[in-house]
Amino acid sequence: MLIYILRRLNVFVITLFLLSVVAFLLQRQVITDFVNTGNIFSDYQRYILAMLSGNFGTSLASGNPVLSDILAIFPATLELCVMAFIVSILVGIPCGVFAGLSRGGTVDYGIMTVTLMGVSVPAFWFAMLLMMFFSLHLGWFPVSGRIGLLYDIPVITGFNLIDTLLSTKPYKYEAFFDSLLHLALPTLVLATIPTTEVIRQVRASISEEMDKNYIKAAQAKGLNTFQIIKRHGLRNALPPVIPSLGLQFGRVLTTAMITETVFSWPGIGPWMVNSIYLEDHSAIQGGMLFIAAFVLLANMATDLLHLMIDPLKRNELYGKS
Amino acid sequence: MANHNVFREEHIRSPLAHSWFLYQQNTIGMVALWALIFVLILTVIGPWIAPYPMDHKDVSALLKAPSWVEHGEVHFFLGTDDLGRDLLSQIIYGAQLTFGGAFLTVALSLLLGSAIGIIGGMSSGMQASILHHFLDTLLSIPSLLLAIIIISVLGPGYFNTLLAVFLALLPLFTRAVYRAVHDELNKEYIIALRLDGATPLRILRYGILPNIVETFVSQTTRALTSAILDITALGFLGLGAQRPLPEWGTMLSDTMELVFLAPWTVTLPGMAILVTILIINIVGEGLRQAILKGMD
Amino acid sequence: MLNLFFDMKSMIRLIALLLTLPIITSCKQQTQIQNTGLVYCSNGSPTSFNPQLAQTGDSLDISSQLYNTLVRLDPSTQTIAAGLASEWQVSRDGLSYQFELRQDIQFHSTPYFTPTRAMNADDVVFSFQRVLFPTHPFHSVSGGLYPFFNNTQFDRLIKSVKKIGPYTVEFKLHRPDTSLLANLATEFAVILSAEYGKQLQQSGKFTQIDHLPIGTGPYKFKQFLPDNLIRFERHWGYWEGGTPMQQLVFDITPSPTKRLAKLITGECDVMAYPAASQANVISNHPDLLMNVQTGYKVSFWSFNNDKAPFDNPKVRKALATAIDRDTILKAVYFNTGVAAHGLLPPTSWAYNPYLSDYPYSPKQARQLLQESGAKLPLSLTIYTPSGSDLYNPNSFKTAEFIQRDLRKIGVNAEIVVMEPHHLERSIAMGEYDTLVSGWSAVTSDPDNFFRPQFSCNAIENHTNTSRWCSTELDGLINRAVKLNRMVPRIRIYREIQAHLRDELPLLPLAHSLQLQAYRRDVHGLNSSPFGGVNFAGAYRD
Repeated sequence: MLIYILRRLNVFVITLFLLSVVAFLLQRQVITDFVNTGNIFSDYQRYILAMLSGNFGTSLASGNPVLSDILAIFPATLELCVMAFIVSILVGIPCGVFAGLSRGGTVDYGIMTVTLMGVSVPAFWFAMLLMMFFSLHLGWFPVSGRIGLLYDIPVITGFNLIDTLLSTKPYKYEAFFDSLLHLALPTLVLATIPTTEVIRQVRASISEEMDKNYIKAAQAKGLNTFQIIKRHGLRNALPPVIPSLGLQFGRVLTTAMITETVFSWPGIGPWMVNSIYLEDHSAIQGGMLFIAAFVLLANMATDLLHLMIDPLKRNELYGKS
Repeated sequence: MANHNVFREEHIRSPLAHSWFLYQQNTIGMVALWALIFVLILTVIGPWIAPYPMDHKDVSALLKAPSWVEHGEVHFFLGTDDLGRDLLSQIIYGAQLTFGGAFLTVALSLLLGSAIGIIGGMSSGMQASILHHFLDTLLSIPSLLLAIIIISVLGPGYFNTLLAVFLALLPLFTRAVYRAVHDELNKEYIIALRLDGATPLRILRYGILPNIVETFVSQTTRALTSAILDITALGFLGLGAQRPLPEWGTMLSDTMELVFLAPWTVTLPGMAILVTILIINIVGEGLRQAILKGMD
Repeated sequence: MLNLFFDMKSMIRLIALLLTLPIITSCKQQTQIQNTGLVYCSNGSPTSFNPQLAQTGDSLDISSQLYNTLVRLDPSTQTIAAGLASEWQVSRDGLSYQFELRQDIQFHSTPYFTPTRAMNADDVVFSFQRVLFPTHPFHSVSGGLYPFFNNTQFDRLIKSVKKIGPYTVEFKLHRPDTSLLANLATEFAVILSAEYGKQLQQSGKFTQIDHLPIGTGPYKFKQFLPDNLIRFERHWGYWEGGTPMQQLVFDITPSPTKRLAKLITGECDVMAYPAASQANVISNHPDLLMNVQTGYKVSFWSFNNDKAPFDNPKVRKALATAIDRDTILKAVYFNTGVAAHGLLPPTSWAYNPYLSDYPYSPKQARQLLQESGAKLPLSLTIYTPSGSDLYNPNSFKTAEFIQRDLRKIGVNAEIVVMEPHHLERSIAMGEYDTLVSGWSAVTSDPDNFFRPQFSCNAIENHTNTSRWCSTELDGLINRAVKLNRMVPRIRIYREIQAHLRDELPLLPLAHSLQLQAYRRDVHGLNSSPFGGVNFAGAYRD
C-alpha cells in the first residue's frame, strides 16, 4: 500500500515538474521584466522556490497575487462540480438499475438513447438551449450568477449553499433557496457527463450481477426485486462507481469551465479564458498549474479511495489477482 | 437457407469480413454509416455545392427565418444571420473546418500515436515504464484542458486549435495502442509465434494488429468525437477559429447575441454538431460490437 | 456513507424534491429582499470611482449615484438648473462666475471615512484645483489625466478657482466662454470631499480617494468586485430627501444579450444600453418598458485629410455619394437611429435645417471620382473599433457595408478592426485612410460637437479624427462661445454647418436613439440624454 502511494506520488511530482518547466519557459519567453541572469537552471531554481512558497506572481489584470485570485474564485467552480456529482449519483444509479434490469427492453433502450444523446451533445450548446427554454421562455430559472445580487452574503467557505446557511442575515433561507435556483441549470449541464458514466457502469454491473447464482438463491428465498437490488445487486455494483466518477473529475472540471462562461458563473473558467484574451501570463500559468495539480490530486485521491473500499483492487496491487 | 455446398471452408469469412457482415444487420448502424458518408462527401465537395460563397452577405435578407417558418424563403433554406449570410452555406463550409479539421487531426495523431504506442509496446524495460507512467498521468488531464493549456501558450486561432487538439489527442492513441500491444504480447499465441522464430515485424503484422482492430475503432471514435467537441468548444470560447471562418462552435458564440431575434442561428449549428457526433458514436459503437462478436 | 445510496426511499424523496423545484419557482412571488433594493445591469467595470478621471466614452453610471455637481441640466427643458450651488452670477465681461453653495449638504459616512462637517467652498475648490493645477497634492494621483477636462479644453479656460466666503466660490476665466455652465453640469465635474482628501494625505494613501469614493450623492459605496458587481447603500443624509431603496447593486454584464436575458428573468430591474437589435423584443415584451430619447450622439465616417487623395474635396464627395446610409440605418441600427444630415442632431437648438444632403448615387459617385483627378483605381483602408459604442451599435458592420458600397464604384477598401485602445494609438499616429467612428456629446452645447471634432487643438487629443485644421473654422468655433446671446450664436453655428457640408471632412452617418429598458414595476428612474441614469428617486412598486 505504502509503496503504491509512493509510486503514485512520484508520478504526480514528475508530471507537475514537467508542467512547471513548460510554465517557466512560457514566463521566461514573454515576461520581459523577469529577472534573467542568463543561467536557465538557477532561474528555474528561483522560480520553483517561489512557486512552492505559493507565490504564483501577480495578475496583470487585477493587480492581486494570482494564487489569492484563484482561491477566491475556485470554490464557485468546485461547488458546481460537487453538485454535478451529487446529481449524477442521484439520477444515474436509479436509471442504471432500471436499464440493467430490463436489459434489451424498452426502458433500457430509452435510457441508453438518452445517454447516447448526453455524450454527444456539446455542453455549451446544451447550456444555451436550456437557458433559452427554461430561463427566457418559461422564466423558471435565473440566467446567470451564483445568487441574487441583492443578497449580501459574507464569504466564509466560498460555497454559497453553506455560506447562506451560516450567515446571520434574516433572509438566509430565502438566499439559500435562491442559490439553489441559480445552481439548477449549470448543474444539469455539468451532470450530463458523469451521469452517463454512472448509468453505463451501474447498468453493466447490475445486468451482470443479476445473472449470478446468489441472486437466484435470493429470488428463491422469496425476496422481491426491490429488496434483491437493495441488499445484493447494488452492494456489488456500486463500489466501482465512485472511483470511476473520480476519474471523471478532470472532464467535469473542464466542462465546468465552458458551462460557466455560458451562465456567467464567476468561477475559474471565465477567469482563465479572460486571462488568455488579456495575455495575462502570470495568471495563465498560475491557473494552468493549479488546475492541473488539482486534477492530478483528485485522481490520486480517487485511486487511494478505490483501494480502500474495493478489496479486489487491493489484491491486484499485491499481484494476487 | 439450405446449404448444398459440401466444402464448408469456403463459407468461413475472415473475422473482419464476418464483422462487416454482422454490422450490416444493424439497421440504425447502417443509416448512421450512410449519414457519415454523406457528411464526409459534404466536407470534401462542400465549397462546390454550397448555394452561396463563404463570405457572401445579402444585405436585403437579414435575419431571415428558415424556409419552413413563416417569412422564410426557399433560397435561404435554413435562414440567414444578422449580416445576411446564408446559414446553410455557412454550415456546409463549417463542415470542412469542424468535421474536416477533426478528421485530419485524428488521422495524423492516429498515425503518430500508434507508431509511438507500437514501438513502446513492443519494447520493454525502463523506456516502456517511463512512457507508461507519463502517459497515465498526462491522460488524467482531459484533452480539452490540455488543448486550452496549449492554446494559452500558442495563442488563439484555428490552426493553433488543430495543433493543440492534435497534441492533446496524441497521448490518447499512444496509450491505448501501447496498452493493447502490451497486453497482446503477453498472450500465449504470441509466445508461440515467437518460439516459431517470427521477427518482431512479423509478430506485429500477423499476430498483434488484427487483434487490436477493436482498440483502433473505439479509440478513433472517441478521438473523433472529442476532437469535434474540443474544436467547437475552443471556437465557442473565442480561443479557436475566429469569424468570418464559419467553424460551428465559432458560429455559435457569434450568434449568442441573436438568441432573442433569431433562435434558429443558435439551434441549427448546434444541431449540426450534435448530429455529426451522434452518427460517429453510433457507427463507432456498432462497429466495435460487430468486431467483438466477429472475433468470437 | 454508501448506505445512503441504499436507502431508496430517501432517494426517491430527494428526486421528487428536485422535480418540484421548478413548480415552486414558477409561482414566483416577490420576495422580501426585492422590496429593499434594485439591481442595474451595467455594461462594464468602472476604471475608477472618480468620474473626473473617466474617459469620455467610459460608462459613467456610478457618477450620479455617488456624487453631485454644482449645476445640472434640467432633463425636461435642457437648461441649466441649480445643483449643489443654489444660485450663480456671471460678471458683465463674462470672465468671472460666482457660485453660492447650499449649506445643508452632507458627505457619505462609511467605515473608511466619517465627515465632521457639511460640504462648503473648500470642497469645491479642492475638487477643481485637483483637476486644473499640477501643484495640487492629488493632481498626479491615479495617472493625473483628466480626459474630459482636457478634451473640452476646460483646463485652458479656467484661470483660477477661489473661495470667496465659506459657501461662495469664484471661477475666473481666461476668456469668455458660455459653454462653462454646460461643462460644470456634466457628470465629470463632481465635488469630492476636501476633508477626506486631507485625511488620506496625512496617512499617505493618496490613491484611495479614487477607489473608495466619498461623495454627496443619494447612494454611498459599499463593495466592489471587479467585473462582477458594485454594491451601494442608501445615503441617509441625502440633501434632496429620502432615497426609497436601501440598496442598489450594479450587476456588471458586458454582453447586451445577457443584460436583456437578466432583465427578462427579473435578475435585473434596469438595463444599460440595450442593443439596437433588441428594441423590438423589449417593446413587445409584456413585463418590460423602454425609454426612448434622442441622444446627443453621431456616428460618422472620417477621411484622413492629412493623406492624399483624401485632402481633395472632390474625392471626399465622391466617396460620400457612394454610401447607402439607409441600409446602414436599417441593418446596423435596426431603425433605432435617424439619418444624420450633419454633426448636430435635429433636436439641438443650433441645428441648421436648410442644408441639402449628399444623396446616394453610385453613378454620380463614379463620375465624381473620375473628375477628381485622383489616381484610379483607388484603394483605401477603413479603420474601425471592434465592439459597440453609444453612437454606433456595430462599427465593424457599418464598415462592411461601406466596403460593399465602395466596391460598386470600383474602390477597393480594406477593413482594419482594432480593440478601441489599440485603435487610439493608430488614431494618434494618423495611419488610417478613413475611419468609422463617432461622438457622444457630454453636454448639450453645440460647442461640444464642433470643438472636439474640428478644432486644430483637438488633433492631439485624438478626437479630431478627420485631422481637419483650418483657421477659418477654428475662428468660427471660438467666436461662437464668446457670445452670450442666443440668436447670433445660432447664426454662427449654422454657418459652421454649411461650411462643413461644403468641405465634408467627414461624412455623418446616423444619430442613434438613446434607449433604456427596465421592468414595468420600476418607477422614478431619471435618465439623462447623455447615457447616465440616476437612481435617486427610483423604487419598485
